[in-house]
Amino acid sequence: MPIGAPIQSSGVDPDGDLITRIINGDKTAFAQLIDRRAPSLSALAAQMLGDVHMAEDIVQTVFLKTWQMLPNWEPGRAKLMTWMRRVTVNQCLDNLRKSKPIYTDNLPDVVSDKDSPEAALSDNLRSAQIRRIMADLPDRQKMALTLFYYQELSLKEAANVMDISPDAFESLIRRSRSAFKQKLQAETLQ
Amino acid sequence: MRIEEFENFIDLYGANFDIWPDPAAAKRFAMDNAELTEKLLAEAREIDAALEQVRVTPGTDMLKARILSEIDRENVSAEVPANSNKPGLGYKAAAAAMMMSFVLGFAGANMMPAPDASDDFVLTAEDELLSDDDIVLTADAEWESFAEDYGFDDIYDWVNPAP
Repeated sequence: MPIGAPIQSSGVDPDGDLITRIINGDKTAFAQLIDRRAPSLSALAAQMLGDVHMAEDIVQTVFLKTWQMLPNWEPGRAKLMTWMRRVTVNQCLDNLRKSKPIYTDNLPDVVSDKDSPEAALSDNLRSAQIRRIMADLPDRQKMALTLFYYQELSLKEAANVMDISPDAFESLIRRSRSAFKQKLQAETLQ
Repeated sequence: MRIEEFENFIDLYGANFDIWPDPAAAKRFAMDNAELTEKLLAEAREIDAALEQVRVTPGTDMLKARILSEIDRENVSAEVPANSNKPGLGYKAAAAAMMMSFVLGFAGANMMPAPDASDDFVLTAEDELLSDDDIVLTADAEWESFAEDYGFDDIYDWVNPAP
């Protein structure tokens, strides 16, 4: 099966210009692809795993797979970024299955805009609490929230990345948001 | 829009009307039905704010260099000739030759007159306790720095791939 076939695609691939150059051996085009796409993929993985170092390892693996796969890429069958997001998602899910990360570690401190140290501390404690709530969500719910709210994908794009129908993704995001809300309220009451 | 639809959308998109399918209709409904929508919107804003509070934006300055360097290494592996099934043999032969000259050097040193205080290099008792493994490691390090110095490091990486 040609690479890219399982992912539904519509419209022109915004990375199409780079793909052609990379296939022709232009390494600077690949560097441009990293500049363009690595920040978003890193944020996706870091949001999922709660660990920026682990996230960067995963993104490195995704780009290596992309480099190896591109000679077999069939333009027009899928958008490259959708494929890369899907590989990132699968790598993250695989990683989460193997080990449960500690969400409060290895993430950049949230920069508080509060004036007093007490308020800033309370802000950081609250962030740690929210990260823990996110970490406790089932992996697929966490993934749905990440793709929809943090990656700001449309329902259809996010569903494509998770390889489920848009209707199924819609149900999943409702369940995720509801679970997040319940945990948040429970923590607030404690 | 009915209240059930409004609830449906707020469960999905949160309180930011701009990402709703029909933002104008949502805003109008919220204004016209403030008593029904106020509590729903307040709850949704709380969730949105919580999600926003843990948004991660990691830096990727080093990542690009890491990826490109890894790809360079991949390319080196890809250039290994197909008929070279045992690339380690050449290196082993070179290492063996170096080890031999190293050992001969020791033997030669033993035949020389005993060093005096003016010598720059003095063989100590500790040096003589080097095991065979130590010598192989020494030869390995010498070969690596030799390869780097003379621009053969690609060949070195090829015959001695990183684990």
